Amino acid sequence: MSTTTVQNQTKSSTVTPPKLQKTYGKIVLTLHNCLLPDSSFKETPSQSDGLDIETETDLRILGCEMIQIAGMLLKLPQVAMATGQMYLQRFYYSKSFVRYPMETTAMGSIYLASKVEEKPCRIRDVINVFHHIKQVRSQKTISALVVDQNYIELKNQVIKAERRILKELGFCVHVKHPHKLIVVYLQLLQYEKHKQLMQMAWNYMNDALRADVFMRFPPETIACACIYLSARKISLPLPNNPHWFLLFGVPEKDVRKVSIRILKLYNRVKVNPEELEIRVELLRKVYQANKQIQAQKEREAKIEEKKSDSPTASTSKDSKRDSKKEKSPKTPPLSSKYHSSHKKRERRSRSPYDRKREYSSKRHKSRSRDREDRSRERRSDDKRNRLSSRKYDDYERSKPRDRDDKRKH
Amino acid sequence: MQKYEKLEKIGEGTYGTVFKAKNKETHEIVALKRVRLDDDDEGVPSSALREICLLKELKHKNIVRLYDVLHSEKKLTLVFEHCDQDLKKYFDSLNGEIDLDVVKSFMYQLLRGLAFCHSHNVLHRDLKPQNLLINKNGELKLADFGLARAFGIPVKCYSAEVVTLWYRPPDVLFGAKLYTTSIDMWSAGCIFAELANSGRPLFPGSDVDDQLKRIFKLLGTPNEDTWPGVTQLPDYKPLPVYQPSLGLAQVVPRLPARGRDLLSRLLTCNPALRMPADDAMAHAYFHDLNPSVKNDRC
Repeated sequence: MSTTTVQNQTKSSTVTPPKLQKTYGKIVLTLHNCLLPDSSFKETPSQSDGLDIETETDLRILGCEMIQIAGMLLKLPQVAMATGQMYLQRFYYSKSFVRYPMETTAMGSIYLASKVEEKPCRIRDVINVFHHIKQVRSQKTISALVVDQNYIELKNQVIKAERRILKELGFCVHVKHPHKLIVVYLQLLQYEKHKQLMQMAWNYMNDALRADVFMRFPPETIACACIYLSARKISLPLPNNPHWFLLFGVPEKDVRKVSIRILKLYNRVKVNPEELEIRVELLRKVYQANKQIQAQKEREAKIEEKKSDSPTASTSKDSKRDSKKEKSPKTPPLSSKYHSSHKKRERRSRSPYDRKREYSSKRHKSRSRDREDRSRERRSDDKRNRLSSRKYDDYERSKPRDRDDKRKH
Repeated sequence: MQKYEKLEKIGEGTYGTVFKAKNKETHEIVALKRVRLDDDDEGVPSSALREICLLKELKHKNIVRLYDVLHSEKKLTLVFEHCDQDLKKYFDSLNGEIDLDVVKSFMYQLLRGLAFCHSHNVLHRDLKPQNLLINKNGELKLADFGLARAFGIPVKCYSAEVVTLWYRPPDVLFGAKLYTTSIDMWSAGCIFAELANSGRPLFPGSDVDDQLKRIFKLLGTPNEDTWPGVTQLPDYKPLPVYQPSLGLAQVVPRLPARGRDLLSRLLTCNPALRMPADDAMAHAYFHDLNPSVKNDRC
C-alpha cells in the first residue's frame, strides 16, 4: 500500500525543473489507493480558508451526489462514478473549496473518470447533465442549455479543472475500488448467491464514497465494513470465532471505525445547496479581497522601498490591512467575474434575515421531492432512510417555528 | 522546459510530436513527447493519460522509462528515456538475414518486459515492432503505452478495438471483450516470427476477415473441440475450414525446433491455452541464451 500523500505527488508535476528529478525519484506511485496521513484531516485547505468543517463535509457530500446522479444520467458504469467521487474527495485535501468551485471540480472529476474507466463521454454532455440536475433541484422549468459565451467559458473551466485534478493527484488516477472485493469476499464466505446481502453491501459501499473512509482506510477494510454492516442489518450471522474479516487481514477495530463513519452519513441533515453556496461565496469574497489587499500591499511595499522606508510605515500598513480584513465580507467582490455570475443572489440578500426566510420557504416546497429522490437513491435500506428523513423533517419543522417565535417577540 | 535543449524531431506519436532533446545540466539525451492541449477540444487525451499513469508504475530495464511530466499552461510534455531506433527501423537497416542470437536475445527481453507488465496488472494491448525500442547496447524496451490499461480481478469488459490488426489475436478478432494477458502473448508470437524472418510480418492481413483466414490457414480453423466457446464470441462467423498445416518449419525456416515449439505455444488460437510470459521465459529455447542477457536484470 502506498503511503504517498497527495501533497507529495503534487511536486512531481510542478514546472520547476531543477528540483523535479529528485522529487520524482522519491515518489512511490502504485495502482492501489493512496491513503492520506492523519495530519491531512486535521486542517484541510478549505478550513485554512475559514470554511467550517460541517460546511466542507456538506460540500463533499453534495459534490459526490452530483457526480453520482450525473453519471447515472450519462449512463456511465458505476465504477466511473466511484472513481469520480474519489477524485473530488482527494482533490479537496490539497485544494480549497473556497478557491476552486465545487461544481467545476465535480464536472472535471466525472469527465476524467469516464476517460480513465474507458467509457469516455463528452464535456458538452457533462455540462448539459449538470445544468439539468441544477434545474431539477431548484424546480425551474427545464430548458436547454444555450451555447453562448458562458458555455464556452464553462467548458474551458472544466478542461482546466481536469488538468488541475491530474496535477494534484500526481496522475495517480487508477483507483482500486472495494466493489470487486465485496464479490470476492462473499464468494469466499459462500454467500455469493445471497442477493440481498450482496446488494446491500454494494449500496453501503456506494454511499461510503461520500465519507472520508477511502482516504483513511484500504479498500479491503471498507469492503469488510460494508459486508459487516449489511449482515448486521439483515441479522445474518457470519463466522465470528475467529471473526471472518481476520481472514482478509482486516482488524476488528478498523471495521468498526469505518462502519461508524459510514453510519454517520445517514444521520446528517439533507444538504441545502443554496445555503452552502452562500457560505462559500462569502469566504470567496474574503479570499479575493485579501488577495487584492495583499497585492496592494506588495505594490505599496515596492513603492515604499523606492522611496526609502521609514520605521512607521510598516505598522500603519498592518493596521490598515487588519481593519480591511474585518470589513471584507461585506465589501463587494473586487473581481468582476464572481460579481456578474452571482448577481441574482446579491440582489436577494438585502439583509441576512430576509435571505434566510426566502430559503426556508423555498426548502418547504422542494422538501417532499427531495425526500423522494433520497428514497429512490437508497432503495436498499428503508428503515435507515426513514430515520434520516425523519430527522431531517424535525430539523426543518423546528427551524421556521423558531423564527416565528422570534418574530412574535 | 528550459532544462532541455531540443535537438531534432523524431516522429509523430499517437497524440503529439516526439523530439530528441538534451538535458542541459546532465547532458543526458532524452525523448520529449509533447501533448498539445490548446487546440484540443476534449482535455487531456486518454492515450496520454494511460501512458502517464501506467508508465509511472513500471520501472524495468525492458520498459521505456518515463522520467518526468512537465506541466504547463498550453501543453504537457512527457520526458522519456531515449532509444536510438525502434524494431521496425532496425529491420529496415538490416543487410541480409538477422543473427539468430539477436533473435533470441530480443525475444527474451520482450518476454521479460511483458512478464513485468503482467505481474503489475498492466496489459500493453498494442505490441508491434514500431513500439519496441532498441538502443545501442542491444537492449529492447517496450514503449507506447497509449493503449495499455490496468486490469483487475475479475476481468471486465474492455474495448475490442485494440492492437494493430496484424498482431491481433483471433479471440479479439472475433470480438472477445474479456481478454487478459493472453492478448499480448499472441502479439509476442507474431513478433517472434517476424524477428526470425528478419522483419517480414507473419500475418499481414488487409481486414478482419483476411486476417482470420491468414491465421487459420496456418493453424487450422478452430472449432468447439479445439476451443470451447469460440462460436459464442460476439463477432464469431463461420470461416472456411482449413486443416492445421503444421508448416511452421516452412514459415520460419531459420528457427530451430525449440524455437518453433515456443512459437506454436504463443500462436495458440484458444487464449486459455496460450503460454504466459513467465513460462515462455523458462522455455527450453532460451536454455543456451547468452548469460549476460539473461542475468542482466533491472
